[in-house]
Amino acid sequence: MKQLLLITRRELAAYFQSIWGWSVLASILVVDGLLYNAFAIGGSAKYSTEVLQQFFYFSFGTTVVAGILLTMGLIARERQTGTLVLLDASPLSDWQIVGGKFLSALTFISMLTLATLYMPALIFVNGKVSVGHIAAGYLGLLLVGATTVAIGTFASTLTESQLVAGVVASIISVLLLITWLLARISPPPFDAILSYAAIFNRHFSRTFMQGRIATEDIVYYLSTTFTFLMLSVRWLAARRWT
Amino acid sequence: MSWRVVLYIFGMALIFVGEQIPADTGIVRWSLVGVGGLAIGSSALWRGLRSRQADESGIETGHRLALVTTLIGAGSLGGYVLSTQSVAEGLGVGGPSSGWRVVWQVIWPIVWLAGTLPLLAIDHAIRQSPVVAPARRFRQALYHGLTAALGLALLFPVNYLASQHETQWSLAHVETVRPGSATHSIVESLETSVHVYAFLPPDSKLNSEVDAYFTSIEGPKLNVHRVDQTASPRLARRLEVEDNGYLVFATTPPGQLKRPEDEGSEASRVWNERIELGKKLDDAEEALETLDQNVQKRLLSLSSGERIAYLTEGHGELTAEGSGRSRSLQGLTQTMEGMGFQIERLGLQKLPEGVPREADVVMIPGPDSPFMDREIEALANFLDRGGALWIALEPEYARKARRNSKDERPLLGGLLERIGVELGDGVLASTDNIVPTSNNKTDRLNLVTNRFSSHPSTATLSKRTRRLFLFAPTSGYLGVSDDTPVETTVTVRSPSSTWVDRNDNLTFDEESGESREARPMVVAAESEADDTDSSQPWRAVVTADATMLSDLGLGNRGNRQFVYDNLNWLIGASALSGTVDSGEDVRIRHTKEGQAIWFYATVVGIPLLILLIGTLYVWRRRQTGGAS
Repeated sequence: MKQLLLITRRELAAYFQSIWGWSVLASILVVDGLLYNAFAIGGSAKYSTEVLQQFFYFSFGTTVVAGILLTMGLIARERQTGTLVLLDASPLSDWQIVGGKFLSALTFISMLTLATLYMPALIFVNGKVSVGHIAAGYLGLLLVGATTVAIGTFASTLTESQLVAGVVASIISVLLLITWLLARISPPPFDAILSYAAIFNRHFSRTFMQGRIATEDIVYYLSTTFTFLMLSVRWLAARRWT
Repeated sequence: MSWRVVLYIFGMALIFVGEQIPADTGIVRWSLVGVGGLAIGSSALWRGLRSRQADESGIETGHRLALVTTLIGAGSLGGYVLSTQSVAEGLGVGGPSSGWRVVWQVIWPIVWLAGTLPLLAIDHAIRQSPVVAPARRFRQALYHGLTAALGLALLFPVNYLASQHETQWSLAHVETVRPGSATHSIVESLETSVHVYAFLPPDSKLNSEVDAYFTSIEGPKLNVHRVDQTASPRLARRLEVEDNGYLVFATTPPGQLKRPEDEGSEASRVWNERIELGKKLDDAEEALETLDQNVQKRLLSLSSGERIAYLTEGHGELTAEGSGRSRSLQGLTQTMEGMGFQIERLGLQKLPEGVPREADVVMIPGPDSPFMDREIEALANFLDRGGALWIALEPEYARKARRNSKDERPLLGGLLERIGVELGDGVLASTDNIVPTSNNKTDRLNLVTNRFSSHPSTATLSKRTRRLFLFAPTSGYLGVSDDTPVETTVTVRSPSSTWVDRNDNLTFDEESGESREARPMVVAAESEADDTDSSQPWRAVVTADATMLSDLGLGNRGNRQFVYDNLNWLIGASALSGTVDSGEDVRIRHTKEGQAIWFYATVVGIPLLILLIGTLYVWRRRQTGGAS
């Protein structure tokens, strides 16, 4: 655990000690703010809950993008710069390496997500929403963040190119986003599986975005996160031979 | 990926596609499946040959393991065949209650994963070291592949169980509604105690919501009984409740409710009022949002019976069916019904004969054509009987109508004069205190004001001027006569920035005699009892704008409170005035002025601040060589 936290601290410091981490943070807030102003609170008059739902709708997208941007270099950069050999030679297990890097990115993306809290708080100026709705939405965003970071970490273990890692993570994320479309043209039992795998349509828009918390969605996000982390560890271990 | 693996995956894909084609298509389906099977077989055969030809023992092990995993993957197809309907029926286990197919439908994908993923991992390892490699490497590859396959396989049962045993919590409803001050006043003024029977399942989360609402008003005048309809069917029958999920209001305590054997006769019927909530918290969200308003209505109805309000029509008034939000009174009628009023119409045929005796209030909402003399006489008689009259004048419509008509008679004859007010000529405009709706000059007519007097008809508004304001689109102004026996009070004034736009250019022109000042917008008038004649004391409210009562106006909370307090004052129930708590959601839209602040703060301000902090931190760290 100590080693895992050591890796986490080191990686987290790397985010904040380079202008890259701060730029990602500021850029995501700018994009979130623009979308919030243009679509959520702009245009015709809407009910407060609609404004909040639209905020979570856009925040889902920015969280996924941020997750990919933050993780594409996690392992790939180490391999690119040759420092992965040092990690391999250290007394750290693969779980500790992957876990530490995942935790650092997760902490950063959680901070980024929570930094947007002032936007839903603005609804209270003119409107009326439930604090529970905000809490549920943010729980959903944090779970989405965890899953995306795990996907990004896995993609980052596959290649030494950060760009390729980013593309692979994007492809996996897009596949999870559009599985509900694939479900429409798939025969049973694949249609049920694909429909269930839809990361947004099945597990975010109908629950967290609407202010509901469902155990099914929590299990989905956590199990998907665990699976991609496990795949990352397996892949990293398999690559030790090369 | 080697050609052997490509062949394996190609074969699997062909079989998959072939299986999707209906069985009656014959040759195509079986060709695809056959070629697929052949491809997998070739892959296995080729792998076996490579294993025999290998010179090095490690590589031989690698190919052998790859062969085994290929065969496991191919074996999963057997599981798939066993899971099909036709095979299950052939084996006599295809019945709907049989678990045969379900078991094989679960097993074959797991076996397939357990064969395919290790195959990929081993094949990758062989390609990395095609000449010499220790056998341990391939065993590890097998182990990694198997772990990944089983990890993936675990996703299915875990998520299946989660979907089958799903629990949901809805946190979207606005915080529990509490009784408003008006509800407290109504409960205080109850002469007969009211019993509330809350028919709810004992395990429903609604119980805590209902308890939270009634806790502060429960007492000798309002008794709350928690009842489970299934546990107390007799009590439920006496109150004519057939299921849980209702709040029943009755003046009869539980012990005095009629016995079941007395049922059937009209005398045995318990007079009660009810609110339908639903059994679960999720179902009751909407009902909870309007709970306070509905409780008030039931309490008023039980304590004083239903009041009757007449709305005049036939003179171009605003109506509940009016087209457009500025001409519709749907919101007003709903608000009044919520206050316990029964709404009736008073048209051209009925009004000349006189205002009905049972009328508590008569409203004249924005007429644009003059009333007949007999109608005015009927309204005057109604006032003499001690009636309550609400006249909402609409200067803009009245002016337009006057321009198009040759009828020069005053709208309401001498009625306004009797009340002691007159409608000024022109509409009010302002550059401040306005609501932008069209982002052009016409927005200057959309006035908002929080200049309320402490008169009982605006007492609640005057106490909450920072949160509640009155929205009056296209308002006129009133003149108040000093020479009248009627006691008049200006209850609402326009902001001091308003001017009367005499030349209709929506621009303030001092040269045209326009001046900025606060002008009366609403007047409350009250006659005193006169011993010299038989007339009773009456009350009247005159507003210089009718649109403030339309759906457009009542979208604003301050306007609803204005209606609530003025009606209560008119019917002599000022003690019941106060706030109505509501969890109802409100529509929001940022104004142009406000939007600029929010826009720059959210889009530029905070991100820029974060970037600045980051830059400073990174710069400082570089300056100190990372010591910080």
